Amino acid sequence: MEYAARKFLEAKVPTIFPGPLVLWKWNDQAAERARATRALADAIPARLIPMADYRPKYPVIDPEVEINPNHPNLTIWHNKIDVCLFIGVHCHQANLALKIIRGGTNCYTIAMCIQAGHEDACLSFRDAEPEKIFTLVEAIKKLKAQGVKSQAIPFTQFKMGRKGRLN
Amino acid sequence: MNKPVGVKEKGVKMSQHVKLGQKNKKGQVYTDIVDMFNMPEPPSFLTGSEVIRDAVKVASIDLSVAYPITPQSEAAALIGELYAEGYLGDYFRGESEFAVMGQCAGAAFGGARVFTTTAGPGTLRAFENFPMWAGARLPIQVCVTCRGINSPLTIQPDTLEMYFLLETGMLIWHAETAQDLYDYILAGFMVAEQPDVHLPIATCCDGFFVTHTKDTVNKVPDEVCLPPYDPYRSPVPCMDMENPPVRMMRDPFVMKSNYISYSTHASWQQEVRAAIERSRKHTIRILGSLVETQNTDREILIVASGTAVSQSREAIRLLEEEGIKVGLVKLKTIRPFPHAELREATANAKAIFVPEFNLSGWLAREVKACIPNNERVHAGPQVGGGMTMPLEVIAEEIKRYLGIPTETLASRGS
Repeated sequence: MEYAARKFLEAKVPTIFPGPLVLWKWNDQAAERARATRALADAIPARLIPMADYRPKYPVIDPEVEINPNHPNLTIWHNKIDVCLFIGVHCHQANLALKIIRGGTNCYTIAMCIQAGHEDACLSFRDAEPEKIFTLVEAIKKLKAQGVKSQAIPFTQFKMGRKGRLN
Repeated sequence: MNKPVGVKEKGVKMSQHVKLGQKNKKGQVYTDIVDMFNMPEPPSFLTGSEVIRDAVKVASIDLSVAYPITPQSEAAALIGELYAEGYLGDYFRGESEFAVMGQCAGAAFGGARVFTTTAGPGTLRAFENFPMWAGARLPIQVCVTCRGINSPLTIQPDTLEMYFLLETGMLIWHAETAQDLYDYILAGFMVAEQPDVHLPIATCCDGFFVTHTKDTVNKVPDEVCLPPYDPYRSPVPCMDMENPPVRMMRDPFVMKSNYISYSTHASWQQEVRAAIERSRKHTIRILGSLVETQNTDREILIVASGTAVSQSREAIRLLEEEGIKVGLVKLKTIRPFPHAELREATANAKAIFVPEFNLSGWLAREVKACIPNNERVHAGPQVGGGMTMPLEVIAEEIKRYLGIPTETLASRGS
């Protein structure tokens, strides 16, 4: 847990990729997990690039606001992401994305998985209930209290409206 | 994913929308599979077809789709009787084996636990759907009662079709006996439905030798059953026309971007192969191992799967009476192929015989590709088209290697 916290704080472009299992309120636990993810993003601070579904991005992907699990390296390269976390992504798509990122980039991947975890991630959490995510948030806060500073480049989190980007 | 997975005290991920100990509408109690296998029952004397029926009875199956082809027609019909008794969610006959497998896919996409059976030409008729199932990560179980491939037409057992299945991306398990078949059908669902596996599984048995002969089988009580399939544990979204995998059928990437198409195909194929590998730990936890071994310290070994194992056991007994000591390695799973176990078991052998019920010798090739010093592997004896493999034929092959004169067998010259 502390290792993951340190990796996030060391990163220049820490990014969280929330998937449909936390972005859509399909049950109450998803909502709780979403709250925990937001708390994590605020604590680091990390960018959020959501993956609301796995539809192919046509005609061309906008890598600043989206990620294609079949081609995640475009997003990683464009934004120069050095540490990323996948949460709420279906295992198949997560495995694909993690394999491709590991094979084609230098990005450090962390998987926050509610099931068995992911061997293709550099660091994998399993049985990731919301409490575990909040524990990671506390670990980050604890390191910050000890004087560890986040190396993240300042950024403005984009906001999406129905017709596209708002900022 | 090398760490054991578990739901608290149980070793196998199962549905969480029902609890173990709850009853279904037939009054059967949802029970963990390892506990089911440890429930003592008096042995039954059953054919393989009856065993398929009895496994389906306790497997909490939502849908079975049937099509007649020898030698699985009886099993499919017996499953229909189970449907009439209320043990299945739904059951119907498809228009052809190809239609059946497509119908199974539709049901599995919709979140059902699906079982079907086929054989020989039926398997080939259905074939396009098998890699489709795997790529779509559908944990359908198809019981393949191996039968000869046309032409010429034969209804007799031949395992050639298993060779065709090897690269479909399905799990492939090969039952030696009716007991194996019963166990593998139940265990197959539990392994195939694990979120980190989630692949179709072909539980193969040799037609007629297993399906139509009676054998002693230890069943689980009819009052217990497998926990139902939970589609929300699928590693891909449940049926969704906008998202892969269903999206890829109706609007393939190749229509938009070859680059994405290449990337997707490569990564999805790798993922399916990785999922096969991930099934090993679950299979070992339920079945105990991927192989069974006897006396692997001996210099002569037989490596076999399916009914060839039964024949090999008898051949070993015959040879033992003549003072020739032979060991045995039985392969339970063909995909995943038990590379590590086979290398360990054959480490000391000077000669490895691979008897098969097919003339292509595919299992011998798999073994040769797996072990070092594969000149030790002798492919054979091989019989095809449904011929029996008398134990004397296996024994004679080994004696010929040892330079021991043997009596001339029928149809062989001196």
